[in-house]
Amino acid sequence: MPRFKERGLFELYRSDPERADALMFGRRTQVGRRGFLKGAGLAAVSAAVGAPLAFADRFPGGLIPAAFAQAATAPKLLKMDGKAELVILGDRPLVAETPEHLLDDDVTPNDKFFIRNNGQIPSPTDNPDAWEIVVDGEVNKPLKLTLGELKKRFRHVSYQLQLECGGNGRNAFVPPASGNQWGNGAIGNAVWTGVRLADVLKAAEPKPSAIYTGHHGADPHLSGEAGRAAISRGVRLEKAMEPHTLIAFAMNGKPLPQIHGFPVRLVVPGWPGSASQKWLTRIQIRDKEHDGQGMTGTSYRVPILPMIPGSKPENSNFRILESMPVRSVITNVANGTTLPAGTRKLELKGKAWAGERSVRAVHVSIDHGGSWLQAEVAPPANKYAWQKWSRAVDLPSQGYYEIVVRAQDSAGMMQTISAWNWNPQGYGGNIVHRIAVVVPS
Amino acid sequence: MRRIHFALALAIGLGFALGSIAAAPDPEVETPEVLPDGEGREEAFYACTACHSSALIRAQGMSRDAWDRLIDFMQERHNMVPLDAADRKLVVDYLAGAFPPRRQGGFRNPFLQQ
Repeated sequence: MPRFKERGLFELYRSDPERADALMFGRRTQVGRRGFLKGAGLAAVSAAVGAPLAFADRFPGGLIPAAFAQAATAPKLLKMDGKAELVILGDRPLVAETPEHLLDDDVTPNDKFFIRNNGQIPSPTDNPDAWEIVVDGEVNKPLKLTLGELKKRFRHVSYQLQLECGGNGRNAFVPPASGNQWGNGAIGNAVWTGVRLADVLKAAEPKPSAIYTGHHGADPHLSGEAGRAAISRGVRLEKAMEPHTLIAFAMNGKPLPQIHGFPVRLVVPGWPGSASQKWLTRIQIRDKEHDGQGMTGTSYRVPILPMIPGSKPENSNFRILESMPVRSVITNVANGTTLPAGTRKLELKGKAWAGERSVRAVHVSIDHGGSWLQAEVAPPANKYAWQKWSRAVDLPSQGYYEIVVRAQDSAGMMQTISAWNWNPQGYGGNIVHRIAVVVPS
Repeated sequence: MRRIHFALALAIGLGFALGSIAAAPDPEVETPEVLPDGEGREEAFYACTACHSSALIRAQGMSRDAWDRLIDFMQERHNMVPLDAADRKLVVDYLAGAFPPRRQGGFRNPFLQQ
């Protein structure tokens, strides 16, 4: 069997620049007579580099922008539209995290939305409305719908929904857990438009035996093996039928970006993002827990009984991670900020969210948790939208401060100071967000 | 003369546009040297980067047992080409030596890294 080896972002730009451009910017490179970028292609690359290009008409199409080409030792930044600088955790598969201070928008713009791929990025389709989605398995009326038919047949809804990688917060585990070492930035809160998965499933008429979903997408496995899914997770039928679980075709009012699953994906809010299958092709209704890629072993699972950190896991001691835990971030002051000299009052703002639950309270501390100050917390725009919080703090003197934010969910659970319930792949970590600032004399 | 000026301007323009790219090291094609030196580096590099880039390796820090279990995981779940016993020992020894558990995860003081 021939194995197509997925190329990293950098290699891709070298060997297949048009495909790289299409994947990164969701557009076809417009190349003029001499092979230089023109029009929209030029604008996109300028935006990616974060500044107007000098001699822009001479910029060759498909060349990797310098903003991507940095030394391997420094954090790699993925710059889009001149503002967002996502931190590239890996380029094959492409995984990029949003620094907390770029999560300040109430609704996360597409360019600031974290990127998580498990496999290869499929080629963009030229005909999105002809894209086919199958619903089969434990149903009386299996469906095979094009995206165009789906859009016509079912009611459209739009919600602000937070989508978070199951491994968000992984880098706090000691000893380190394996996988992408996310900080707090595998989170975004976009406006998603689509149809309710529940409406589609009702049309397929689930049998009484139906208890679980299995999701399938068009992204090939990294190894290129045809029969292997990059990721194929599912949820209990109750979650699939929840009215905020969407088959989504638009993100912030525009067609999905290629990197976020164009032309259609699931959005299963509040649960690990891997359940929100990108490039959706099939929803399988099952009479047992789904056993696709990422469903078994210790993947997207947490220990039932706490295990000794670093020890050998027993698979039987693991349960599927469903709701994501409560988390909060400070978004208006970046970690490492030197404040203006003489600063004595600091307005702190941020976001908090809690998977299936809502956020009841947020507290901040400027003395390592010695005392806590209650923040104001706004209600969510709708269920599963993140919540804004704010609090002004007094900084009594010049000097070095660490500021910590901690949220509590509607059931009373709080973020922890250190990551608890250690597990080898690092799920469920939700330590407090901590930033350091200096007030000069 | 006019033609020469145009050619010169084009060359300068291209040099500028390309220069901002050429100045950076070439990270496009990874080689084993991206990993710390050590016995087994080449074997580990090629075994792992057949599927994913080295960034994922370099982000980890684990005990030898955990690295060994991770090889099982990659073979069972992710189609990793099986290693024979000798190569496996070489690769796991290398990974455990080059990427041992880090002392601390999470917060790093940004003012100490300047």
